[in-house]
Amino acid sequence: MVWESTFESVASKQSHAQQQSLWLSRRHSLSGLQTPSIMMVGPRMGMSTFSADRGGPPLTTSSTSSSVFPAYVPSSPQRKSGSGDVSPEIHEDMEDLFVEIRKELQGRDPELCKVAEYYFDGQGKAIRPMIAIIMARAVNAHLQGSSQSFLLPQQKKLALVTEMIHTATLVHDDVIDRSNKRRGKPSVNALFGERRTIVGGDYVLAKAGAMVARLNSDEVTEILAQVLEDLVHGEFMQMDSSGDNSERFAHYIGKTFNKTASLMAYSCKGVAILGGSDDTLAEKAFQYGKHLGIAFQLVDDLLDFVSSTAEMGKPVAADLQLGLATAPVLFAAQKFPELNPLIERRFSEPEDVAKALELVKKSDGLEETKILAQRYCSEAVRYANFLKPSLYRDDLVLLTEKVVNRTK
Amino acid sequence: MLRRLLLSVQKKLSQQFQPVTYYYTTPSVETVSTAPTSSSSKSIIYESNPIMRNLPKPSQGQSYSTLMSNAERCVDPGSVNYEESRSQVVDLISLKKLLSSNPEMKKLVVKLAESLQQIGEVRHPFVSTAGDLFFGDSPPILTPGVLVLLISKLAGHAISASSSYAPRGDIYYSGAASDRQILLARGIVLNAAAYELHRTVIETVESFADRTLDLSRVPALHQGNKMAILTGDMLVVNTVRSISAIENNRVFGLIMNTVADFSISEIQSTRPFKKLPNGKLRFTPPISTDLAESFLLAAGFRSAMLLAGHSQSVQDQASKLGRVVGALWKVKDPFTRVCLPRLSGLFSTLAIRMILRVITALQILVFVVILIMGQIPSSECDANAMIETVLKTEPIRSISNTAQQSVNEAKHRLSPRKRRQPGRKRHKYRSTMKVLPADESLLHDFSSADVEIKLGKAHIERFRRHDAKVKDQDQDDPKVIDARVHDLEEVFGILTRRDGYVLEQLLSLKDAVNKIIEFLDKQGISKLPPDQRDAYIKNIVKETIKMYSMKKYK
Repeated sequence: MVWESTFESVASKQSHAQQQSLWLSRRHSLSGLQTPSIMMVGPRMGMSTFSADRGGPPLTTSSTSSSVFPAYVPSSPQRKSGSGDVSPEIHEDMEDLFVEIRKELQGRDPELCKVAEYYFDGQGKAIRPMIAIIMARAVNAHLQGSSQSFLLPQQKKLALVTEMIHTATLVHDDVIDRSNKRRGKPSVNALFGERRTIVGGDYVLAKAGAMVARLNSDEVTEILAQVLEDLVHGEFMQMDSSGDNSERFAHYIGKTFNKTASLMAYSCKGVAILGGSDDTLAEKAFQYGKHLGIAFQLVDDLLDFVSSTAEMGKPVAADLQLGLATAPVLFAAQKFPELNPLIERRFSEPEDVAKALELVKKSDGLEETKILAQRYCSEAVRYANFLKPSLYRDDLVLLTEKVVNRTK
Repeated sequence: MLRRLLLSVQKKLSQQFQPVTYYYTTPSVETVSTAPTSSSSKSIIYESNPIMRNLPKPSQGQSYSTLMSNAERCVDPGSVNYEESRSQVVDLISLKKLLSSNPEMKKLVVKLAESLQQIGEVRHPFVSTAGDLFFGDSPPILTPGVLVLLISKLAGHAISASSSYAPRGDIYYSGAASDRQILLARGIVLNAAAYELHRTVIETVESFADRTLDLSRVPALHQGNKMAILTGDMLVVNTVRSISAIENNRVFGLIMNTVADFSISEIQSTRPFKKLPNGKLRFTPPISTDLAESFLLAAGFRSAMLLAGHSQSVQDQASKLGRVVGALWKVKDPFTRVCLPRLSGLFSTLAIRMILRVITALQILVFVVILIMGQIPSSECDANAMIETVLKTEPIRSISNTAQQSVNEAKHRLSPRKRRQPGRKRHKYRSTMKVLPADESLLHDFSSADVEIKLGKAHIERFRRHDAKVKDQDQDDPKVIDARVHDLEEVFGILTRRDGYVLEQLLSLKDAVNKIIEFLDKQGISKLPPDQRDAYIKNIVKETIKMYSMKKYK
């Protein structure tokens, strides 16, 4: 399988058969959508807090997670893998996230502010700042040798920056993809027009850059430059459907890193640097963010096939309609080579999308995508375990479970 | 296939080009030196991880530490590597260089070629704008970068720039821009180019689009938009790369804020009239919509001074100057006009222009040929290198023999070394700026220590009033006078006062009225009833003059 060569160093050396049986044991979780949500909209202050359900149904993967993840010992008896929510301090840190971002975006032109603030309404998952905040606290706890820690103001600022950069790219993507809806409401371009949307995106990015400058850390500034470069590089990779079948999966994972995981990885590294970590620790933080980010996107690509419009806030199989071949399609093409010409022509002919959708459902593409996401998560856990035990290290592990089990 | 596409690019772009009526003067750049631009060898984090080992890697950024190596060798204009250094500066700020060194940009050219047939037919402005920016003959977009280099040269730089940016009163006036200042200039050019490309996005969302928009053209227009956004984003990223390599977060913050200013000025331009509570419309003066470049140069000039280690007050004055120079550049585009010193007579000028047109055509041809061969030389943006490459190309040689003689003659005439008078003594004070003699005298150059300065005679009185050191009138040209001023703050102050040289042009009422008329035409004001129209025009003139007034800059 293509992903096996891509994923050659995964810590747990399970055979493909084992993975398949593991998958089959929880296959119902995809179709039944019974897993707890990774995100809920917090009623307070109109923001998303990425809170998981307290006392909700158990994680469907929790019973098998020990076979997927490397040996993991929770730092306290109260905190068990898959047991529920992240630490209350994290929620407190996240509480005023969007309020602070909107404050940063205040400027002398009210109309521009309206465009720039449109997506900071609390409807987003806000997973990027949450990862950065948890990593920041975990690194601080590691360095202090305690089970709890404070969040430094600079680390909080960097967490805001991650959400701003992500939103700036969403805004430009909406114009590029001519999207009409996002997060269940009209997209920013549909509401304000393309010209305003583009300058609105530029504005958010500029404000994020100015915030990074105020952190006065050359290393973090360099990180911002790298993230932006990766994001645009990823967009170009997404446009490029050339390459033979054997290279296609590596190209896809590379694109996924650039478009999604880079921001998460470098923000983890950034907060570690701001916390005073050395190169080794910063590297571990980076690796955690990278693997979690790739897993996040793999699940996102999977959900594009199985979730309803109401859940995702965008049409089903939107990626296919945009001509994009994501992991489920690439896995399906292993079994049904007739998908390859469709991939090459970017599903541009009338029946292409429907045919691809049908073949993906007939194949094991969705299952294999989820297994791959789990393996990336297990790698992320391995890097998290480098940190000393703390409540926030547990939260990092918990995040991997939530990412892989999310339904929207 | 690729060859056919690229040839179609060349054909289309050559159709898009306007006749070359002006070019950017090279002497100003040629007096700046630089360090080599080798990339850093920063370790790639995921290189060591087998999972990501075989995946495409993001390109490497520049690191200041590597740029610093060899810098001192280059700062002396008399050094043996002077010529090499000059071409490196041009390479650094050139968009063609970016195109040749960036795989994504190369892909973009192919994409452009693929979609050209489609978007070319609908005349999307991205096609002509990108053509000018990336393939044009010394495009005006380099102007802000060159101005920053010039002001950097004037500013000098701290002796130990790598250790401190704080004003220490210990500034080395080398007559050369430091590596950081060159990176700054590069960032400024890329930023300005990004503005230009994002401005070409056309409204295709039905409720916002022009009523005359033909809906059948929307897919093609959208393709053009997509190219404009991605290319502009790529330039923004390269801006951030360049500025972050300076390793000065104050400069980084200044430049990022100019991107925000660009957004503000752009969004204001979408609504020239504001409805007041009483139902009347209030006009936003057109100049306010064009100030993005003004903010950019203000930040660029301030940053150049900051990197040189100058005091806050000098930075403030430089910023003020940058602001008006930017506005002037936007309003009149004067720095891109041809300035050919020591050339007299209509014939010489026409001959040079014709030669330049030939060079332009050959440059494009060679670029396409080289791109097809898959190899772009690192110095293809250097006109001289390009000419030589062209002349060495076998099929072209036979038709270019005659042109070669003319080109050599032009190069000889344009050489800054030729213009310098050997044996001229160095002056105690640094030079300030020079104005070339012409009917439309223009702010042309901030000179370095090794270049004589020329100041328009009409303006010299102001320098005298401020106790500037004024040299005698030029013996060869009575319209030109040499002047030396050693107080930068004073120079900037003079330039930005109401009777200062730069503002003299900006404040020209004739220009303001022309600008208004041009703006009103675009807004369709002539369709309004006569009484409303007159009231608006009165208000516009009043507001515009207020905007042009010095209060804005104080």
